Amino acid sequence: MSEHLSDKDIVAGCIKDSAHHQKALVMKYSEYLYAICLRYMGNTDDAKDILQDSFIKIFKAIEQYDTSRGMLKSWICKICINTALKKLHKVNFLTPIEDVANIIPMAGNVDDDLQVEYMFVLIKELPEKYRTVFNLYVIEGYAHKEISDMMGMKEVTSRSILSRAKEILRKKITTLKSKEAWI
Amino acid sequence: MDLNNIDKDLIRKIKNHSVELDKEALWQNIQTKKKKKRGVIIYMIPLMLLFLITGSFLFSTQQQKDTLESALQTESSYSTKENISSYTVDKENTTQPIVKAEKIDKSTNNQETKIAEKKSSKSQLQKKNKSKNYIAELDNNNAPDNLENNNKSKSLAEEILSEPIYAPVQKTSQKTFPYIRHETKIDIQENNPKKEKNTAAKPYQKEQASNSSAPSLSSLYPLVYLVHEGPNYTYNLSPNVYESPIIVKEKLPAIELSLLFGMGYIDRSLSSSLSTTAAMSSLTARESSESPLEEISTTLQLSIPLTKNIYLKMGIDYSQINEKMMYSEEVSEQIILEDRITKIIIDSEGFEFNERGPVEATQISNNNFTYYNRYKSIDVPLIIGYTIPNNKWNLGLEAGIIWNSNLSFSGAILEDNNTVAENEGLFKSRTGIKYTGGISISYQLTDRWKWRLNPSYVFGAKQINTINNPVNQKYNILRVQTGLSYAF
Repeated sequence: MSEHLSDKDIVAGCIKDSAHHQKALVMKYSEYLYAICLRYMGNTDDAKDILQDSFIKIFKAIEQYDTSRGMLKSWICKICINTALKKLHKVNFLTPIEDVANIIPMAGNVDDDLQVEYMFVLIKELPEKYRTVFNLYVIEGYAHKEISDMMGMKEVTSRSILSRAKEILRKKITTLKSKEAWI
Repeated sequence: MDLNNIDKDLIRKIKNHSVELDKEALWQNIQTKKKKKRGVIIYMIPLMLLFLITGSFLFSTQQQKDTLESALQTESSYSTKENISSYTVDKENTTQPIVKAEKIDKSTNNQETKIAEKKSSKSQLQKKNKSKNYIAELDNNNAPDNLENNNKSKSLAEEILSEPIYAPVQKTSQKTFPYIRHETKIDIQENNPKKEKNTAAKPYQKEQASNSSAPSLSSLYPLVYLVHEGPNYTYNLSPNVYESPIIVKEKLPAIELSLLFGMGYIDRSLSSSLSTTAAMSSLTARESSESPLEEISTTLQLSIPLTKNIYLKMGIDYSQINEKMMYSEEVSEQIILEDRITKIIIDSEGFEFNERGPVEATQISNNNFTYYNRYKSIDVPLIIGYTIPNNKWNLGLEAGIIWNSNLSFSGAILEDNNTVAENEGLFKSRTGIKYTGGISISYQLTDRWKWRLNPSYVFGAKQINTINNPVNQKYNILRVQTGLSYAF
């Protein structure tokens, strides 16, 4: 039932600190945010931690959400990315690479989903900095200038990291293609 | 698909990609985390309250002192004025009349002048003696036997006492003589436009509540003493002031703030509540790999006197238990040895030829790892003590409880299969109550500063590990702290 609430209702309820509405928000967006967390953190444990922290931040800051400035989904996505970036900035991760089998694709067009799924896993397997820059630039659409500000690095470094990330991905895709796993 | 040609559609799909998740479990975890964060705030509240209460107590004490000093100032100015047209003493008891003494001559104000002299004196002891003498003198002057003889001198006391407007004593008293209770308003109406009201001597008022009688200059005694001896005095004047007033000096020690640093000897106990092979193996692994080093601690503590000898200590305590964990890991590695004899060939004539080349071999080595484990605690001690003073030295006997508000672990421990676990979740975030007993030795360095030495034993702590950890881990600490304390 709670998943059918509109974003507006959810926000209004969350502002009133209603557990029912907060739960509705979690139910509606947790899978989407979890995928973002996974893309940035690279492993499920850290991703789940970031997801929980993100929701707590969202509940605290929900009053600041301005409907005129964008969709709720984009807003919570930004909070989630920021939380992940902060964590990445704090901790020097040595992320274990997970099995593809751990990631269960959602229902939908099988071919498309598989392609997305493989790409998702490949991104997740990138080393931390490569993954972050790739995610921010290619997926989220940030400019190198913004990324350099966010990550506290030079713009040139951001470009260089992106280039190397693409190179790694290219190699992996080639390997997958040779195994005929790539569609 | 080439990476350079990742189409926008794919990016959009990756961006909106969702991964299946146990939403109910996530919701439960979020709620737990929220409660935890709220919990920290709840535990901070008592601490904040403690500091607020202490702060306001210190502030009010200071204010009380200031009020009394101001009252004495009034008294001094009163004594130096040539003509004071009215001197009004309002009694707390409404049935008592207002006493008025008009036109008090400066020349007859020797006693009051003494008050001013005493105030200006820097030596406390001197002040005390002078005040006592002054009171004794006043008493002698006020004594009924001496009244007639002293009429000639016309002191202020006599001026007031000789007035026929003394209220009759209301309560049954063995000797009925005018007596002013300490709840007195001194209202100098004309020459001193500032109206000074002495309302600060409540301890005296309480003690004397049942000793109500007519007014006299004796009411000024506590003023003198309060200012000279500080606000922590209580006055137990006899209901009959013709006898020497008995001044019971219950001087409470001042509140002290101490900052202490120390080290402690760790008495660690490891045990297993389970007798399974895994539990015993884990216990053995930990016992053989870990060795306690020392405990270091810092304490910020307030000592609040309850009576002359009994005090209460509370504050905040940070401690860190340091341990060393060493273990050795056997690593076998496949390596290739270059230029090794791979074949020995013996020809028909019996000559040996060695054929050399790379040889595959297994290299077994030991990697030694050393971790320094740290168990950091933030505690709130609540200690009651009994002090035995001896000149500049003080010996305090102390016992109390220590509430652990936070425990964090950093480092690594070995698990049953000799794998290293660095999971913080193996240990509790809070262990609850433990107990402490010890002594506190202090030496008075200056009026306000003391050097302290606090040896104590902290015991009765609960196990610090969670139920996920099969080994029960507890600590008792023999701690010695030293530092300075400042008396307010």
